[in-house]
Amino acid sequence: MSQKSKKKAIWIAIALSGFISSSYAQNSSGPNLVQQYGCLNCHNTDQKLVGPAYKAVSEKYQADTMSAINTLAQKIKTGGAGNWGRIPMPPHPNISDEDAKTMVTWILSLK
Amino acid sequence: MLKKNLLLLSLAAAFLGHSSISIARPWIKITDKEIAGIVTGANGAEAGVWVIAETTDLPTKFAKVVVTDDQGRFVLPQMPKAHYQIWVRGYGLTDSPKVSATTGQILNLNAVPAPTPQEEAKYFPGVYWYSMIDLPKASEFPGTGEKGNGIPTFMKTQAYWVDTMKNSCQSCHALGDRGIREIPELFKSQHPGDSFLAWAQRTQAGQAMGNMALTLGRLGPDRGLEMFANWTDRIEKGEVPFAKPQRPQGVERNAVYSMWDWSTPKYYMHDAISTDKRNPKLYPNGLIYGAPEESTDLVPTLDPIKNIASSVRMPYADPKTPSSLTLPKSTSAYWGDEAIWDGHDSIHNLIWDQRGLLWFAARNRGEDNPEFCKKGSDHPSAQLVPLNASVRHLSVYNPKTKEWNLIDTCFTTQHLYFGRDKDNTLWTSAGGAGYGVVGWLNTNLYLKTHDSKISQGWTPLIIDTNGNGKRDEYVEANQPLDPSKDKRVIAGFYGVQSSPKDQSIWGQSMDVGFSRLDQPSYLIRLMPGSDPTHTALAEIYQPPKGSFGARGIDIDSKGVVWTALSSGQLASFDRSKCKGPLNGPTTAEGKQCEEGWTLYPFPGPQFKNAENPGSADGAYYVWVDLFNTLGLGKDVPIASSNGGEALMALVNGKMVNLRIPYPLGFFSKNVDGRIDDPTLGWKGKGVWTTSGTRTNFHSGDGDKNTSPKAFKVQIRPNPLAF
Repeated sequence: MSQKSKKKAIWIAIALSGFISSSYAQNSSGPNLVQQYGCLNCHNTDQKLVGPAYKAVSEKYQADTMSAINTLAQKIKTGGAGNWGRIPMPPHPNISDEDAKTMVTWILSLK
Repeated sequence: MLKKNLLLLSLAAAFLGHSSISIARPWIKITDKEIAGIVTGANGAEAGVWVIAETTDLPTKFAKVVVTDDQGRFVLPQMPKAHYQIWVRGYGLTDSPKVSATTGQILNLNAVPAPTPQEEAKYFPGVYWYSMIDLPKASEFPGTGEKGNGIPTFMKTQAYWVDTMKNSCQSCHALGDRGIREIPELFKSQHPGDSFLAWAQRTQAGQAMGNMALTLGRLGPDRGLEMFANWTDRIEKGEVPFAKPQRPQGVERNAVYSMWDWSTPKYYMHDAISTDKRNPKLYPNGLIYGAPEESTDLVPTLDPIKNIASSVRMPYADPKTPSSLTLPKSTSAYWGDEAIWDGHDSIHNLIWDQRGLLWFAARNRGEDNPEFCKKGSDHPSAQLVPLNASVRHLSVYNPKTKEWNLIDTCFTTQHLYFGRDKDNTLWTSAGGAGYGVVGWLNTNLYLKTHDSKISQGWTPLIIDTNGNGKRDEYVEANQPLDPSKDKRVIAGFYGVQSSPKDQSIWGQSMDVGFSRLDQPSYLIRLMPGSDPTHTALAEIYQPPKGSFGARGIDIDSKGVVWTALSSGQLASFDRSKCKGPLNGPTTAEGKQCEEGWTLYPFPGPQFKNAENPGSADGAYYVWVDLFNTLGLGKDVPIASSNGGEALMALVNGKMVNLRIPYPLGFFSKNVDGRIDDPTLGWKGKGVWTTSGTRTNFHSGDGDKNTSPKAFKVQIRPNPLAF
């Protein structure tokens, strides 16, 4: 296991035992949520659509996944632009903190 | 009564001669059911311009539109008694001031020349504006991706791009209409001077945000937005269309367009229906029913005799059936943050049968299919092709008893048409090309048993590639041909229609712009056989080289199939003209029988840098008038031209352009003809349609208070008949 992979595994273990809710207890909850909330209209795992590919997001934030989870979960809720081009991501205020973090957790686990 | 009217008119004319509109000396005898008149302009009679009469006196808003003859004369026939606002609209003009009139009056109306090219072009059909879009050049395809020219690598040819614009963007929007070619102030103010971002913002507005994003992703979001922003920037600076439409000519001047408001401004319509296509004399003068798709569960109705619009609520079976209310959205320039749609039923299409029952393609539960659809089921179709999910099903309504029955189907439904068989089989399309099966319901059996499981079936699309004339074991679509077996094609019906000529069922599978699969559109002939799940055989036919994007299907009484192409043509396919074999290994890709096709370009300009001939126009669907309900003849195909804002009828090989000029942005997805009284000639029949745009508020004549419309179109023997 590479250093990068080890770090991710540790982080996921912390997440499972801590603030990530029981929704993460299902391995598929992240994929389910991104489908349920319509995220896949703009995002794809491997390829840029309107928004960046999830794997590209994961790669960008591997250096500091702990802080990324809060930053990106917040970004899902408030929207924004600039990190991945000019097209803004619309805000999603109806997504709970819990679900947003679950989705980010799953996205950051992709490689 | 008539003499009294004429006397009053003559007296009134003596006093009102000073007005810009005056009551003229009668040149025609009319009754209190008509309004007549003459339109003149600076150069005399204005021929081929529209006279629009609208009233709010009736239970629902009503309007009627006719065209002037070669002497500028007009007659508005069959007018409900009311006070009307009347004005003149036409190419080369700007709208004349509205004048008040009542039924029985004869008027002089003054046409007003357009003061500027921009004012003149306000009334052009959307395709004239839309064709100004600067397409990526053919040489830029295949795309080189995000780090190249911004066009995705899967966008292999310019045709892919055009098909995406027409069959994805234009599926829902009257492109070129004012609300599209102008960016709302809200988005301009959010991004001053940056039309790219304003376009990005507008494509996220409202509950269709997800669909919009899917399409942008296909175009390459930056490249797509740049193209649209460049287009509207040029228009904002004053650029006008490079081509001009011609005024209605010939029989086009005989048209009568009637219009009623129905439903509410928050909702939109997909389709409307008036009768049974197989027998258009059924349900004379009855209610027109609509299909509001994702917007609401309220099925709109229109009583065209009493001018009353109402609605019926469709139920759904599972309380957890998802609603469009929860779709992601951003702020709308028209509705702010209000979620205006709340539809669970996703009511896409509807059709009458001969028993007084109305059948709908509609959702009644979530996507997960019941167990009998899945692997391990004893259902014969499921044993062959198990289906785990379906997004839309069937509903049936009895207007007499007000009873609904919700029918759980394993296959997804989208359009519906009845077969001409003893079982009254309801054949369905699925929409997307990737569904891979065609489903049906034996409605006789269903009505007898109310058992949806035993009444339904589905089949994969299997081509007889081994050429032995029967269905055999088959290889899957992604497997190489096997000379001993048949081959499956993964396609799905979008349009569906039974042939009046034989027992075949025809469908049409969408091209890449809609399907998002790297395969062309097909016409598909399905011969069901005695046990369709196991005996149905398919033939597929690609549009000929240089054309693409079949959409919609209907079949005339001779068995000739009609479709609309996103390359800009109405097309016929006559299987009897095919010279080569129609089964065997050479037919696996559907490239056989180019000789069966005939193409008829739609009127209107083509994109300037389009690689292929044709028109920038496209049509959502096509319908064949088997019984001459319109008045242009039996077997006339009619395309719902979305850029032309018209019903486009092909008569003796020539297009008859039935432009519906009010409200601007007419956008139809289907047509349906009914004969109410065969003894009344043209007055006793007509075709029905509805506004099919998802955004009625984009109309050049409208705002957020614009309701969907139901339209009736009739053809008179001459422009003055009543």
